Amino acid sequence: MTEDAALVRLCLEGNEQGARELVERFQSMVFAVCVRMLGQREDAEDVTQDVFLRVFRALRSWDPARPLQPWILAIAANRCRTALRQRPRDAARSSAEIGRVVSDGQADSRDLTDELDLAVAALREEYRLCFVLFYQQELSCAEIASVLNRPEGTVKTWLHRARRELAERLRRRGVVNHADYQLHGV
Amino acid sequence: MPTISCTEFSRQLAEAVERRESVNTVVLREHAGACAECRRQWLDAMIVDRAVANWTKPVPAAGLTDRILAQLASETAVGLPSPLVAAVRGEPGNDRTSRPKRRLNRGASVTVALTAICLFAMLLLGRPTRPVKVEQPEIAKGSSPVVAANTPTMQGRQAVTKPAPPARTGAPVETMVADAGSAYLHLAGNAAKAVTAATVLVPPAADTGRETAAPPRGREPWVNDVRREIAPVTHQLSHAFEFLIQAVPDRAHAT
Repeated sequence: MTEDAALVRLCLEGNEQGARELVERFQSMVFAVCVRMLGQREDAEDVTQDVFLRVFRALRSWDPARPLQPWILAIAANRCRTALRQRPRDAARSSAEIGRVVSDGQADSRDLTDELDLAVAALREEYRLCFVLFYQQELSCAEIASVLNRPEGTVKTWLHRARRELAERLRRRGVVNHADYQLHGV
Repeated sequence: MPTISCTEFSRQLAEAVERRESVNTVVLREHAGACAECRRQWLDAMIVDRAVANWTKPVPAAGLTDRILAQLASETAVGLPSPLVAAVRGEPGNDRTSRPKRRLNRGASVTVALTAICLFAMLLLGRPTRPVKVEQPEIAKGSSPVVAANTPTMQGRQAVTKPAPPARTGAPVETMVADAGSAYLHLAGNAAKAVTAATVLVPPAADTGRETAAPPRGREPWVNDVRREIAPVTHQLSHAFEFLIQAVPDRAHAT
Protein backbone atom coordinates (compact mmCIF):
# COMPACT_ATOMS: atom_id res chain seq x y z
CA MET A 1 0.00 0.00 0.00
CA THR A 2 1.37 3.44 -0.93
CA GLU A 3 1.81 6.24 1.58
CA ASP A 4 -1.10 8.11 0.03
CA ALA A 5 -3.34 5.07 0.21
CA ALA A 6 -2.44 4.49 3.87
CA LEU A 7 -3.22 8.10 4.68
CA VAL A 8 -6.51 7.98 2.87
CA ARG A 9 -7.40 4.76 4.62
CA LEU A 10 -6.79 6.42 7.98
CA CYS A 11 -9.12 9.23 6.99
CA LEU A 12 -11.76 6.82 5.80
CA GLU A 13 -11.59 5.03 9.12
CA GLY A 14 -12.42 8.29 10.84
CA ASN A 15 -8.96 8.87 12.25
CA GLU A 16 -8.71 12.57 13.09
CA GLN A 17 -4.93 12.50 13.15
CA GLY A 18 -4.97 11.08 9.64
CA ALA A 19 -7.24 13.87 8.48
CA ARG A 20 -4.95 16.43 10.08
CA GLU A 21 -1.94 14.93 8.38
CA LEU A 22 -3.64 14.97 5.01
CA VAL A 23 -4.53 18.64 5.38
CA GLU A 24 -1.08 19.60 6.58
CA ARG A 25 0.63 17.68 3.80
CA PHE A 26 -1.27 19.30 0.97
CA GLN A 27 -2.52 22.64 2.27
CA SER A 28 0.57 24.60 1.20
CA MET A 29 0.25 23.30 -2.32
CA VAL A 30 -3.47 24.03 -2.50
CA PHE A 31 -3.14 27.42 -0.88
CA ALA A 32 -0.32 28.47 -3.21
CA VAL A 33 -2.38 27.59 -6.26
CA CYS A 34 -5.40 29.41 -4.84
CA VAL A 35 -3.43 32.56 -4.02
CA ARG A 36 -1.88 32.70 -7.47
CA MET A 37 -5.15 32.03 -9.18
CA LEU A 38 -7.36 34.32 -7.10
CA GLY A 39 -4.86 37.02 -6.19
CA GLN A 40 -6.40 37.62 -2.75
CA ARG A 41 -5.32 35.91 0.42
CA GLU A 42 -8.75 35.87 2.06
CA ASP A 43 -10.40 34.38 -0.98
CA ALA A 44 -7.60 31.84 -1.24
CA GLU A 45 -8.14 30.75 2.37
CA ASP A 46 -11.86 30.28 1.81
CA VAL A 47 -11.33 28.32 -1.38
CA THR A 48 -8.60 26.20 0.25
CA GLN A 49 -11.02 25.29 3.00
CA ASP A 50 -13.66 24.46 0.43
CA VAL A 51 -11.18 22.32 -1.49
CA PHE A 52 -10.38 20.16 1.53
CA LEU A 53 -14.01 19.76 2.48
CA ARG A 54 -14.65 18.48 -1.01
CA VAL A 55 -11.59 16.27 -0.84
CA PHE A 56 -12.90 14.60 2.31
CA ARG A 57 -16.36 14.24 0.89
CA ALA A 58 -15.04 12.62 -2.28
CA LEU A 59 -12.21 10.63 -0.72
CA ARG A 60 -14.11 7.41 -1.22
CA SER A 61 -14.02 7.94 -4.99
CA TRP A 62 -10.24 8.41 -5.12
CA ASP A 63 -8.45 5.70 -7.07
CA PRO A 64 -5.63 4.32 -4.88
CA ALA A 65 -3.73 3.32 -8.00
CA ARG A 66 -3.17 6.99 -8.82
CA PRO A 67 -1.23 9.58 -6.85
CA LEU A 68 -3.21 11.76 -4.48
CA GLN A 69 -1.54 15.09 -5.30
CA PRO A 70 -2.84 15.55 -8.86
CA TRP A 71 -6.29 14.49 -7.72
CA ILE A 72 -6.34 17.18 -5.03
CA LEU A 73 -4.87 19.72 -7.42
CA ALA A 74 -7.60 18.98 -9.92
CA ILE A 75 -10.20 19.74 -7.25
CA ALA A 76 -8.32 22.92 -6.34
CA ALA A 77 -8.16 24.01 -9.98
CA ASN A 78 -11.87 23.46 -10.42
CA ARG A 79 -12.71 25.37 -7.26
CA CYS A 80 -10.50 28.28 -8.33
CA ARG A 81 -12.17 28.45 -11.71
CA THR A 82 -15.58 28.38 -10.06
CA ALA A 83 -14.57 31.13 -7.63
CA LEU A 84 -13.26 33.27 -10.49
CA ARG A 85 -16.49 32.87 -12.42
CA GLN A 86 -18.55 33.78 -9.38
CA ARG A 87 -16.69 37.02 -8.92
CA PRO A 88 -18.39 40.20 -10.03
CA ARG A 89 -17.23 41.44 -13.38
CA ASP A 90 -15.81 44.60 -11.84
CA ALA A 91 -13.65 42.59 -9.46
CA ALA A 92 -12.35 40.42 -12.28
CA ARG A 93 -11.53 43.44 -14.36
CA SER A 94 -9.81 45.22 -11.52
CA SER A 95 -7.75 42.11 -10.90
CA ALA A 96 -6.73 41.98 -14.53
CA GLU A 97 -5.93 45.64 -14.69
CA ILE A 98 -4.27 45.89 -11.35
CA GLY A 99 -0.80 45.86 -12.85
CA ARG A 100 -1.45 48.76 -15.16
CA VAL A 101 -3.35 50.76 -12.57
CA VAL A 102 -0.93 50.27 -9.71
CA SER A 103 2.41 50.69 -11.30
CA ASP A 104 2.16 53.02 -14.25
CA GLY A 105 5.21 55.14 -13.72
CA GLN A 106 6.12 53.24 -10.59
CA ALA A 107 7.72 50.23 -12.19
CA ASP A 108 11.12 51.04 -10.78
CA SER A 109 9.83 50.92 -7.22
CA ARG A 110 8.46 47.42 -7.47
CA ASP A 111 10.58 44.37 -7.50
CA LEU A 112 10.48 41.74 -10.14
CA THR A 113 8.50 39.23 -8.09
CA ASP A 114 5.65 41.62 -7.49
CA GLU A 115 5.64 42.53 -11.13
CA LEU A 116 5.48 38.89 -12.07
CA ASP A 117 2.52 38.43 -9.71
CA LEU A 118 0.69 41.25 -11.41
CA ALA A 119 1.54 39.93 -14.84
CA VAL A 120 0.37 36.44 -13.92
CA ALA A 121 -2.87 37.84 -12.55
CA ALA A 122 -3.53 39.39 -15.94
CA LEU A 123 -3.11 36.11 -17.82
CA ARG A 124 -6.03 34.17 -19.18
CA GLU A 125 -7.42 31.69 -16.67
CA GLU A 126 -6.12 28.54 -18.36
CA TYR A 127 -2.70 30.08 -19.08
CA ARG A 128 -2.44 31.21 -15.48
CA LEU A 129 -3.38 27.83 -14.08
CA CYS A 130 -0.95 26.09 -16.38
CA PHE A 131 1.88 28.50 -15.50
CA VAL A 132 1.23 28.22 -11.75
CA LEU A 133 1.12 24.44 -11.81
CA PHE A 134 4.30 24.31 -13.87
CA TYR A 135 6.42 26.80 -11.97
CA GLN A 136 4.94 26.81 -8.49
CA GLN A 137 3.99 23.18 -8.12
CA GLU A 138 6.72 22.02 -10.49
CA LEU A 139 4.42 19.59 -12.26
CA SER A 140 5.43 18.28 -15.65
CA CYS A 141 3.35 19.07 -18.71
CA ALA A 142 2.01 15.51 -18.63
CA GLU A 143 0.94 15.89 -15.00
CA ILE A 144 -0.71 19.22 -15.71
CA ALA A 145 -2.53 17.63 -18.60
CA SER A 146 -3.81 14.99 -16.19
CA VAL A 147 -4.89 17.57 -13.63
CA LEU A 148 -6.64 19.77 -16.15
CA ASN A 149 -7.93 16.85 -18.18
CA ARG A 150 -6.46 18.29 -21.37
CA PRO A 151 -4.07 16.93 -24.01
CA GLU A 152 -0.40 17.40 -23.21
CA GLY A 153 0.11 19.33 -26.43
CA THR A 154 -2.51 21.83 -25.34
CA VAL A 155 -0.76 22.30 -22.02
CA LYS A 156 2.57 22.95 -23.76
CA THR A 157 0.96 25.49 -26.02
CA TRP A 158 -0.63 27.26 -23.06
CA LEU A 159 2.65 27.27 -21.17
CA HIS A 160 4.61 28.84 -24.05
CA ARG A 161 1.91 31.40 -24.70
CA ALA A 162 1.83 32.27 -21.02
CA ARG A 163 5.58 32.78 -20.98
CA ARG A 164 5.46 34.93 -24.11
CA GLU A 165 2.69 37.12 -22.70
CA LEU A 166 4.48 37.50 -19.40
CA ALA A 167 7.72 38.52 -21.09
CA GLU A 168 5.87 40.98 -23.26
CA ARG A 169 4.12 42.49 -20.25
CA LEU A 170 7.25 42.73 -18.15
CA ARG A 171 9.14 44.34 -20.98
CA ARG A 172 6.33 46.75 -21.78
CA ARG A 173 6.16 47.84 -18.18
CA GLY A 174 9.84 48.57 -18.15
CA VAL A 175 10.66 46.07 -15.44
CA VAL A 176 13.24 44.44 -17.63
CA ASN A 177 14.46 45.12 -21.10
CA HIS A 178 16.58 43.38 -23.57
CA ALA A 179 19.47 45.71 -22.91
CA ASP A 180 19.85 44.03 -19.50
CA TYR A 181 20.92 40.88 -21.24
CA GLN A 182 24.10 40.57 -23.16
CA LEU A 183 24.77 37.98 -25.70
CA HIS A 184 28.03 36.91 -24.20
CA GLY A 185 30.30 35.21 -26.59
CA VAL A 186 28.33 36.16 -29.64
CA MET B 1 26.70 32.22 -39.20
CA PRO B 2 24.02 30.31 -37.21
CA THR B 3 24.97 26.78 -36.35
CA ILE B 4 21.34 25.55 -36.26
CA SER B 5 18.19 26.42 -38.17
CA CYS B 6 15.44 28.61 -36.72
CA THR B 7 13.15 25.57 -36.49
CA GLU B 8 15.74 23.67 -34.55
CA PHE B 9 16.32 26.70 -32.36
CA SER B 10 12.62 26.91 -31.48
CA ARG B 11 12.46 23.20 -30.76
CA GLN B 12 15.50 23.28 -28.46
CA LEU B 13 14.23 26.38 -26.72
CA ALA B 14 10.83 24.77 -26.07
CA GLU B 15 12.46 21.61 -24.78
CA ALA B 16 14.67 23.58 -22.43
CA VAL B 17 11.65 25.40 -21.05
CA GLU B 18 9.64 22.21 -20.57
CA ARG B 19 12.56 20.52 -18.81
CA ARG B 20 13.18 23.57 -16.67
CA GLU B 21 16.69 23.84 -18.06
CA SER B 22 18.53 27.05 -18.71
CA VAL B 23 17.98 28.57 -22.14
CA ASN B 24 21.35 30.22 -21.90
CA THR B 25 23.20 27.47 -23.70
CA VAL B 26 25.99 28.02 -26.19
CA VAL B 27 24.02 26.72 -29.14
CA LEU B 28 20.93 28.80 -28.45
CA ARG B 29 22.96 31.88 -27.62
CA GLU B 30 24.97 31.66 -30.83
CA HIS B 31 21.83 31.34 -32.93
CA ALA B 32 20.14 34.19 -31.08
CA GLY B 33 23.18 36.37 -31.73
CA ALA B 34 22.94 35.76 -35.45
CA CYS B 35 19.13 35.79 -35.97
CA ALA B 36 17.17 38.89 -34.93
CA GLU B 37 13.79 37.14 -34.84
CA CYS B 38 15.04 34.23 -32.74
CA ARG B 39 16.95 36.61 -30.51
CA ARG B 40 13.68 38.12 -29.38
CA GLN B 41 12.32 34.71 -28.40
CA TRP B 42 15.49 33.89 -26.56
CA LEU B 43 15.51 37.18 -24.63
CA ASP B 44 11.84 36.69 -23.68
CA ALA B 45 12.71 33.28 -22.29
CA MET B 46 15.60 34.81 -20.32
CA ILE B 47 13.30 37.49 -18.85
CA VAL B 48 10.73 34.97 -17.65
CA ASP B 49 13.34 32.60 -16.26
CA ARG B 50 14.86 35.42 -14.27
CA ALA B 51 11.49 36.53 -12.90
CA VAL B 52 10.40 33.02 -12.03
CA ALA B 53 13.65 32.25 -10.22
CA ASN B 54 12.60 34.43 -7.27
CA TRP B 55 8.95 33.58 -7.41
CA THR B 56 8.26 32.26 -3.91
CA LYS B 57 5.35 30.15 -2.82
CA PRO B 58 2.78 31.85 -0.57
CA VAL B 59 2.68 30.50 2.96
CA PRO B 60 -0.76 29.47 4.18
CA ALA B 61 -2.29 31.35 7.08
CA ALA B 62 -1.72 29.87 10.52
CA GLY B 63 -4.64 27.87 11.75
CA LEU B 64 -5.89 26.86 8.35
CA THR B 65 -5.61 23.21 9.36
CA ASP B 66 -7.68 23.74 12.49
CA ARG B 67 -10.17 25.81 10.55
CA ILE B 68 -10.61 23.09 7.95
CA LEU B 69 -10.94 20.31 10.53
CA ALA B 70 -13.37 22.38 12.59
CA GLN B 71 -15.52 22.96 9.54
CA LEU B 72 -15.33 19.29 8.72
CA ALA B 73 -16.35 18.36 12.24
CA SER B 74 -19.20 20.85 12.26
CA GLU B 75 -20.52 19.39 9.03
CA THR B 76 -20.63 15.88 10.40
CA ALA B 77 -21.09 16.70 14.10
CA VAL B 78 -19.16 13.52 14.95
CA GLY B 79 -15.56 13.94 13.91
CA LEU B 80 -15.00 12.74 10.38
CA PRO B 81 -17.77 12.14 7.91
CA SER B 82 -19.59 8.94 8.60
CA PRO B 83 -19.96 8.11 4.90
CA LEU B 84 -16.20 7.74 4.73
CA VAL B 85 -16.30 5.15 7.45
CA ALA B 86 -19.23 3.50 5.74
CA ALA B 87 -17.26 3.33 2.51
CA VAL B 88 -14.41 1.47 4.19
CA ARG B 89 -16.83 -1.03 5.71
CA GLY B 90 -18.35 -1.68 2.34
CA GLU B 91 -21.64 -0.10 3.23
CA PRO B 92 -23.52 2.00 0.72
CA GLY B 93 -22.17 5.50 0.32
CA ASN B 94 -23.56 8.62 1.80
CA ASP B 95 -25.12 9.79 -1.40
CA ARG B 96 -27.15 6.64 -1.72
CA THR B 97 -28.23 6.43 1.90
CA SER B 98 -29.11 10.05 2.35
CA ARG B 99 -31.43 10.32 -0.61
CA PRO B 100 -34.16 8.08 0.84
CA LYS B 101 -33.96 10.10 4.05
CA ARG B 102 -34.51 13.25 2.08
CA ARG B 103 -37.42 11.60 0.34
CA LEU B 104 -38.85 10.55 3.68
CA ASN B 105 -38.50 14.05 5.02
CA ARG B 106 -40.16 15.47 1.94
CA GLY B 107 -42.93 12.89 2.25
CA ALA B 108 -43.51 13.78 5.86
CA SER B 109 -43.66 17.47 5.00
CA VAL B 110 -46.15 16.85 2.25
CA THR B 111 -48.27 14.71 4.57
CA VAL B 112 -48.31 17.39 7.25
CA ALA B 113 -49.18 20.06 4.68
CA LEU B 114 -51.98 17.97 3.23
CA THR B 115 -53.35 17.25 6.69
CA ALA B 116 -53.34 20.95 7.52
CA ILE B 117 -55.09 21.76 4.25
CA CYS B 118 -57.70 19.08 4.90
CA LEU B 119 -58.38 20.37 8.41
CA PHE B 120 -58.67 23.90 7.10
CA ALA B 121 -61.04 22.77 4.38
CA MET B 122 -63.12 20.87 6.91
CA LEU B 123 -63.39 23.94 9.10
CA LEU B 124 -64.40 26.02 6.11
CA LEU B 125 -67.02 23.48 5.15
CA GLY B 126 -68.33 23.55 8.69
CA ARG B 127 -69.17 27.21 8.30
CA PRO B 128 -72.54 28.24 6.81
CA THR B 129 -72.56 29.07 3.12
CA ARG B 130 -75.29 31.67 3.19
CA PRO B 131 -76.29 33.40 -0.04
CA VAL B 132 -76.62 37.15 0.22
CA LYS B 133 -80.37 37.30 -0.10
CA VAL B 134 -81.19 34.09 1.70
CA GLU B 135 -82.71 34.40 5.14
CA GLN B 136 -80.68 33.41 8.14
CA PRO B 137 -81.19 29.92 9.48
CA GLU B 138 -83.63 29.46 12.28
CA ILE B 139 -80.90 28.74 14.78
CA ALA B 140 -79.22 32.05 14.13
CA LYS B 141 -82.49 33.96 14.16
CA GLY B 142 -83.63 32.40 17.38
CA SER B 143 -80.68 33.16 19.58
CA SER B 144 -79.85 36.79 20.05
CA PRO B 145 -76.39 36.16 21.59
CA VAL B 146 -75.34 34.38 18.45
CA VAL B 147 -76.60 37.16 16.23
CA ALA B 148 -74.79 39.67 18.37
CA ALA B 149 -71.70 37.60 18.22
CA ASN B 150 -71.82 37.63 14.43
CA THR B 151 -71.03 41.32 14.49
CA PRO B 152 -67.88 41.47 16.54
CA THR B 153 -66.61 44.53 14.73
CA MET B 154 -69.45 46.70 15.89
CA GLN B 155 -69.16 45.37 19.41
CA GLY B 156 -65.48 45.97 19.30
CA ARG B 157 -65.95 49.58 18.28
CA GLN B 158 -68.28 50.18 21.18
CA ALA B 159 -65.93 48.48 23.56
CA VAL B 160 -62.96 50.49 22.40
CA THR B 161 -64.74 53.80 22.57
CA LYS B 162 -66.08 53.22 26.07
CA PRO B 163 -62.83 53.70 27.96
CA ALA B 164 -62.54 57.23 26.53
CA PRO B 165 -64.48 59.04 29.30
CA PRO B 166 -61.96 58.33 32.07
CA ALA B 167 -59.29 59.91 29.91
CA ARG B 168 -61.40 63.02 29.47
CA THR B 169 -62.05 63.25 33.19
CA GLY B 170 -58.38 63.10 34.02
CA ALA B 171 -58.39 59.56 35.46
CA PRO B 172 -55.04 58.02 36.36
CA VAL B 173 -53.09 56.32 33.63
CA GLU B 174 -53.42 52.92 35.37
CA THR B 175 -57.19 53.15 35.14
CA MET B 176 -57.03 54.03 31.48
CA VAL B 177 -54.77 51.09 30.77
CA ALA B 178 -56.99 48.76 32.76
CA ASP B 179 -60.06 49.97 30.89
CA ALA B 180 -58.33 49.52 27.57
CA GLY B 181 -57.33 46.02 28.54
CA SER B 182 -60.86 45.20 29.63
CA ALA B 183 -62.22 46.49 26.37
CA TYR B 184 -59.74 44.41 24.44
CA LEU B 185 -60.67 41.29 26.42
CA HIS B 186 -64.32 41.99 25.80
CA LEU B 187 -63.63 42.23 22.09
CA ALA B 188 -61.74 38.94 22.26
CA GLY B 189 -64.64 37.35 24.08
CA ASN B 190 -67.04 38.48 21.41
CA ALA B 191 -64.80 37.17 18.71
CA ALA B 192 -64.65 33.82 20.49
CA LYS B 193 -68.42 33.69 20.64
CA ALA B 194 -68.60 34.51 16.96
CA VAL B 195 -66.30 31.63 16.07
CA THR B 196 -68.26 29.26 18.29
CA ALA B 197 -71.52 30.42 16.75
CA ALA B 198 -70.10 29.93 13.29
CA THR B 199 -69.67 26.26 14.00
CA VAL B 200 -73.26 26.10 15.30
CA LEU B 201 -74.58 27.80 12.18
CA VAL B 202 -74.02 24.71 10.07
CA PRO B 203 -77.61 23.78 9.27
CA PRO B 204 -78.91 20.39 10.29
CA ALA B 205 -79.08 17.71 7.65
CA ALA B 206 -82.84 17.92 7.38
CA ASP B 207 -82.77 21.68 6.65
CA THR B 208 -80.09 21.60 4.05
CA GLY B 209 -82.49 20.72 1.29
CA ARG B 210 -84.73 23.69 2.07
CA GLU B 211 -82.02 26.30 1.83
CA THR B 212 -80.94 25.61 -1.71
CA ALA B 213 -83.22 25.24 -4.64
CA ALA B 214 -81.60 22.10 -6.09
CA PRO B 215 -78.98 20.61 -3.86
CA PRO B 216 -76.86 17.74 -5.10
CA ARG B 217 -78.27 14.45 -4.09
CA GLY B 218 -75.23 13.06 -2.35
CA ARG B 219 -74.52 16.17 -0.33
CA GLU B 220 -76.51 15.59 2.88
CA PRO B 221 -74.65 12.54 4.11
CA TRP B 222 -71.36 14.12 3.15
CA VAL B 223 -72.09 17.30 5.11
CA ASN B 224 -73.20 15.26 8.04
CA ASP B 225 -69.97 13.32 7.91
CA VAL B 226 -68.02 16.52 7.95
CA ARG B 227 -70.04 17.83 10.87
CA ARG B 228 -69.43 14.65 12.81
CA GLU B 229 -65.72 14.81 12.09
CA ILE B 230 -65.30 18.37 13.21
CA ALA B 231 -67.51 17.92 16.24
CA PRO B 232 -64.54 17.17 18.57
CA VAL B 233 -62.70 20.21 17.25
CA THR B 234 -65.74 22.39 17.79
CA HIS B 235 -66.10 21.00 21.28
CA GLN B 236 -62.48 21.75 22.10
CA LEU B 237 -62.71 25.24 20.67
CA SER B 238 -65.84 25.96 22.67
CA HIS B 239 -64.11 24.86 25.84
CA ALA B 240 -61.09 26.97 25.08
CA PHE B 241 -63.14 30.06 24.35
CA GLU B 242 -65.30 29.51 27.40
CA PHE B 243 -62.17 29.31 29.48
CA LEU B 244 -60.94 32.57 27.98
CA ILE B 245 -64.23 34.26 28.61
CA GLN B 246 -64.30 33.05 32.20
CA ALA B 247 -60.74 34.26 32.67
CA VAL B 248 -61.73 37.82 31.81
CA PRO B 249 -62.08 39.86 35.01
CA ASP B 250 -65.42 41.28 36.10
CA ARG B 251 -64.47 44.75 34.93
CA ALA B 252 -64.17 43.42 31.41
CA HIS B 253 -67.74 42.12 31.54
CA ALA B 254 -68.86 45.39 32.98
CA THR B 255 -67.60 47.25 29.92
